[in-house]
Amino acid sequence: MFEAKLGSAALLKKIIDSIRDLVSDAPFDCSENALCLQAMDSSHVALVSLKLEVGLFETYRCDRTINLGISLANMAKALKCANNDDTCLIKYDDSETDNIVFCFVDTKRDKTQEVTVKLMDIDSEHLGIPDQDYACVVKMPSSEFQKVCRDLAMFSDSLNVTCTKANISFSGKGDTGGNVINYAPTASADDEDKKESVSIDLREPVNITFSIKYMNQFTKASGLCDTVKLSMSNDVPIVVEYDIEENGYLRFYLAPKIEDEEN
Amino acid sequence: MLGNVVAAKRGKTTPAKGRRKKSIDEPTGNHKITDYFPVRRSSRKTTDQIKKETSLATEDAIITGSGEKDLKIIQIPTKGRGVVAARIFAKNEYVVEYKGELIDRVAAKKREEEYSQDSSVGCYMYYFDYKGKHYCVDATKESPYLGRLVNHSARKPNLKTKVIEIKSIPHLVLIAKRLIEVDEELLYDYGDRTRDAVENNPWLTES
Repeated sequence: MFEAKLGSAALLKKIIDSIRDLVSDAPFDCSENALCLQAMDSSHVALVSLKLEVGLFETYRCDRTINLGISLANMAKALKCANNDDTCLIKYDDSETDNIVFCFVDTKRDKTQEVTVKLMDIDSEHLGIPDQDYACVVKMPSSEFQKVCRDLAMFSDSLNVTCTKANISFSGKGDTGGNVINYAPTASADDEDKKESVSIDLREPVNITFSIKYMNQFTKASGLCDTVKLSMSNDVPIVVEYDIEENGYLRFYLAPKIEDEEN
Repeated sequence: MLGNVVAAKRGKTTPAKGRRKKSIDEPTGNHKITDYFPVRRSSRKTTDQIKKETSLATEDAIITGSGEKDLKIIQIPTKGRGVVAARIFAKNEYVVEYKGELIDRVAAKKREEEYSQDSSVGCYMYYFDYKGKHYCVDATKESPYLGRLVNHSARKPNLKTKVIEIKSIPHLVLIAKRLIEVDEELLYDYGDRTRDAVENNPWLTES
C-alpha cells in the first residue's frame, strides 16, 4: 500500500512537465522517507534525479519499498485533468497491482476525480552517484539561467562555462555567430537581494562545455524554484539543481561534451 | 572527431535541404553519463529476475518447511482445528505446502477404502493431476505440518492450490489468493464436488 497526498496538484504537474521530454518512462521508488525517481535520457547523456521527501506531502503512507514504472506522458495526461489548486492523492494498492490512481479533490466545490494510469515494467539501470566536492558551485536566479541558455542556443550547439573567482562566463559560438555572457558575483549578503544575485563558491577554476539542447530541457524546471544551483568540476558531469520547497530536489546531471582538438 | 567526419560524409550524400530535425537523442560528441556514474545493476531487478528469485525462495521454503512458523493452529467451535496466519501474506505469496505422502491414484483408492472403515479417521487425501499424471497426497497420518489442517471454503477461499515441481517431484502448495491479514483463517477450495462427497459433507458447497 502506498498513499501520498500533495496539497496542490500543480507542483507535481510542474515537475512532470519539466522532465517528460527528457525521460519517457520512469521508475518511481516509493520508500518510507521519500518518493524518488532516477532516470537517464534515451541516449544516456543526461540523468534526472528527483526526490520528494515526506515533508512535502500532507499525508504519506508507504508500507514497504516499491518501484512503480510509469509512462510520464500518461502521468502528464492524468495531471492535466487536475486544477492547480486541487489536492492530489497518489494511490497504489497491493491488490490492484497493475494501476496507479491519482485522486484530485477540489475542496471548494466538493468535487473529486479519480484518474487511473496503467503501470509498466521498466528495466532501467540505476546509477550510483558518488558524493562529490565540486570545484565550483554557482547559485543564480533560475530565470536568469534560463535566459542564458536560450540566448546561447541561438548561435551555438554548446555552452561553455568558465568560472574564476572574479567572474563566471557562459559562452557559445557557432558558424553564424557567437554569444558571451559574463557575471561578476554580487557581493551583497542582504537577504532581500539574494534572490537576484549570482554567487560563486570556488575552490578551483573551471572550464567545461556542455550540449545546449540538454540545458534548455533542464531549464523547463525553472518554475520550481527561484534559484538554480550549478555544481561543476572539470571533466565531470555538471549538476543543475532546483530545490523543491526545502523538502526535496530536482537534479539534472549532464555529461560534458567531448572537446574538439582544433579549439 | 569521428562524429564530425561521419556528419560531413552524410552531408555529401544527402543534400542539405532545410534544417536537420532537432532531436535530443543525438549524443555525437558527448560523453555518456554512464562513463562517470557506475550502473548499480543489483539494486533494481527485472521482472524475470524477481520471478526466478521468488521461485527459488519458494522452493527453499518448501524443502525446509520454514514457512510453518508463520502459521498457528486454532480451535474453531463447529469445524475443529483450523489454521490462521501469524503474519501478513502478500497476494501470490507461498503460504504452506500440503505435505503428506505422494502416491499414485491406484494406491490412493486402496487406502481410501481402508480409511473409510474407520470413522474416526478424517479425510486428508488430495487428488491432483500434473503433467498428465494422476497423483494424490495422503496426509491422513498426524504430522507437525499444518497444510493438512487448513479448512475448506468454496465461497470465500483466500488460498489457491498450485503444483510446484522440485527435482522432478511435484509438490502441492497453497498460495495466497489475495492479501491475508494476521489472524485471518486460511481457507481454500478442496474442489471435491462429487455427489457422494457432497452428500456426506454438505459443507463442501455451503461454506
